[in-house]
Amino acid sequence: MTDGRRLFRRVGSSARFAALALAALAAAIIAVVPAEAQQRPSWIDEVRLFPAKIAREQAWNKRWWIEKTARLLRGGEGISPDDDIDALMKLSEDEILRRFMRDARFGDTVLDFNLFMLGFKPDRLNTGGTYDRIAFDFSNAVAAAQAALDGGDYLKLFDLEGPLYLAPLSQEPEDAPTGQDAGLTSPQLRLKAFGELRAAFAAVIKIGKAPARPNGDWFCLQVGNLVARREALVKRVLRAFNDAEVFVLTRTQAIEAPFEPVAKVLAEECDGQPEQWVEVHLLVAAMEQAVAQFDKAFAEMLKFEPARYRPRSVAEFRAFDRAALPGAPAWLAFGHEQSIALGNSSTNFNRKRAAYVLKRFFCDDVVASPPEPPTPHGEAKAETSCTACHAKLDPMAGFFRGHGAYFYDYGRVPAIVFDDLSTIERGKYEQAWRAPPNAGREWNIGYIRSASTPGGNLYGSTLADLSRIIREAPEAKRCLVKRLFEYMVTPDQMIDGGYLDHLAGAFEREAAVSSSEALKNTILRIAQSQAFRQRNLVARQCYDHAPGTNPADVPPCRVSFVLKKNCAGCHDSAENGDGNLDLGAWVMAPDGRNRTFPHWNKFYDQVAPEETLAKLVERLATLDPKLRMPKNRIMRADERAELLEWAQQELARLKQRSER
Amino acid sequence: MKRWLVTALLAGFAALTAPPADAQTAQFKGLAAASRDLSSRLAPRDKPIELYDFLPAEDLDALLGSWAGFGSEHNFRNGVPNALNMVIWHATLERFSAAMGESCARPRLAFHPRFLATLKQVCAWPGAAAQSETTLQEFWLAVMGYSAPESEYRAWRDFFRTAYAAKPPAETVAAMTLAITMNPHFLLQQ
Repeated sequence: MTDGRRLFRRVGSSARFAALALAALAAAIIAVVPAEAQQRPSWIDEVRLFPAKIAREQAWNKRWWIEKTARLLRGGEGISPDDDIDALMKLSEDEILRRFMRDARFGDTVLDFNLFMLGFKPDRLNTGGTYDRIAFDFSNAVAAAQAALDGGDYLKLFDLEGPLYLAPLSQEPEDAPTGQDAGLTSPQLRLKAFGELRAAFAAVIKIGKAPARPNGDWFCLQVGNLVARREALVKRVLRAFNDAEVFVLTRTQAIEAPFEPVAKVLAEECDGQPEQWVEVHLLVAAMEQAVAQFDKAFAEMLKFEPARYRPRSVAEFRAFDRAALPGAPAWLAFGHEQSIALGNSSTNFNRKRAAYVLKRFFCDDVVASPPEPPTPHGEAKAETSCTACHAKLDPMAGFFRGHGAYFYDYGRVPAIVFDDLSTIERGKYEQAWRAPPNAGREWNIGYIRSASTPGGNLYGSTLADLSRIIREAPEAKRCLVKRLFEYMVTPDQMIDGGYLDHLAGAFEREAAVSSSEALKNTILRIAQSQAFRQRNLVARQCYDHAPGTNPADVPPCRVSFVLKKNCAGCHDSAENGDGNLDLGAWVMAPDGRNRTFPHWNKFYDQVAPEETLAKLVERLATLDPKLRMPKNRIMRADERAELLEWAQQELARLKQRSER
Repeated sequence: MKRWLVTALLAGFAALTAPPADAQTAQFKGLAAASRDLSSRLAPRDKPIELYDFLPAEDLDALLGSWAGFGSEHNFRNGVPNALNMVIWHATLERFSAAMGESCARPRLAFHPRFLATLKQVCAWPGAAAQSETTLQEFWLAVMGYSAPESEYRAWRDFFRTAYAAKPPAETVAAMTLAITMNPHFLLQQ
């Protein structure tokens, strides 16, 4: 006989056995109480010290809040021995927040948040006061951070074209210099490379300026050789720069572009001309102009040598003087890293860039959360799921139609090169975005709010149009506020939709006057929210609600967004909604103990919560297309799982409660 | 009845194995953020403390919770505590704590003068002054800040006053530092 059987026999019945097991379990629970609980009960101290203890805890918590706020608003630097925390304790929360926002390090916070908003937050912006390269790479993020510091236009964050911020130039070459360059530092190598380029031009200019006019054909040959060496000479200069710097030099054409006027004059003077008709002085002038252009660009570049440029705060970040560059081009805000992350292949047609803009500026993640299909119910699922995303993605992608590999602007050349090195004739490529006849516009390019109701869509053609659309769209401001909440609290923290609307509404009203002030006020509000004050957040819980809202009257925060997005469109009223069910409201159940969705039976009586939830579970879990909800619509798998899990847990809770 | 009892038993066992209600749920803050916290509290501004230097091997920081990346959008990765990253945290912070303990004889790191004064007092362990409430709280706050509730401080203080009552200063300071820095209130995002 086994021990278990012997024991069972001694106990006598299964019910008695279970009762004994319960008793053993209770003993085990008591036994795991920590040893300290067996000492003098803590309530003895607590009762005696109650008022003092509460005050002490409050003071401790305020110090924690001050430290957390300092860390948040001073670029990660919390309270240090140099701070007088006792003096801060005497200030109100508003005063503390305003004081921290006046600190120069607040620029780091705003820049770090901007990078978070753009999806490229680093672990750190600077090390020991020296800024990392990434801090300079996102020009709209830098411009907006500087604006936030000096009360300017913070919404520069939405400008996709603007100033160029260059990091201090590299100290050490990426590859160790060899041959005659061996042992040179990057600054030395740059001077040498610039010198070589100038010397190459100077040698030919010298011939042209000699007292005796050179033979025209021979001089044309010299200039032709110089122009033909363009690629090699550019490469020689680039050896002194790192990848990020080469990216800037290539996009701005700082070294290549000055060759073009020389090539043009060369063609005019030397192609098919008799020797004596070659205007040597015109060729010399073109080359001198190129050298002057190099000098201008190099002089500006040398201002960024680390020996001369070492910003100690975001306010000290210096914009590159674009007037020093050929054609003074506007700088596209998509920097080096974004250009690598957001490639454009010959089959992708900028859709990756479009998805990025929708996700980052509109909080509309079409990849993770496909939008509502524009077609009516009943179409094939595959067709609707494709249309759902592409109706939004493709028109957004059109804003980038002129930008190929590395966001290089191919708008002025007949072909476009993609990141996969394929090329296509630009006119043919752009056909993808031509609006159909009678559309009333040239391009089918824009921000599509809804494919089925185009009235709210915003159309445009250029990146300047896109910047304007982002600036004007309330969705972008709401997105910014949502990201700010995530940044300040924690990225996966749930936020009540009504509270977000409340914050976003205030931001939008204030931004109409001063966007930098609106940003600061929003920071102030979030820093004083319940969520920000929690030491140990529950991710799927909402801690804050819009003023005047009773959280008891709306479905639980955990599922309210999922319901609103997927279900409440049809199930919007117990009186008239599908299934006589309202999944947007939350009312007291007939039992007077629990809350439930308004759900009526055929006699217009409220259905019991258990029945409503059981139906919900059944319709979410079934694979029968006739019953599966939401009907003929795509629902994200994680959202379905979340709703199902909540409904099952709620059902179990109700059952437990009814059994008590 | 039988089914009810079985359900109750299962629920009871589930309750036993469930984490306590106040268990921390956040992710690790990451090595860079932890370095920044220690730098603000202990070091002069121009000489930050780099926990990277205490990693048992290069590039392991990416496993401790990091935003870093290049060539794709950055998401916070590896922040959920697991067996591997706990081992790396422990190995890193143990080395850092050892450096703190060794600093009783000769500072191994660049410290802020105010912290250095506190450290000097704690390094008089097990002397009465080193065990005083003022000294211990100063040391705790210098390393932990206010990230943890006061009850955590009291538990830490009482433990060292008893378990380390007769231990040498270097060992005690190292253990004190490790106990603070391995505390979830220090390691996790707040």
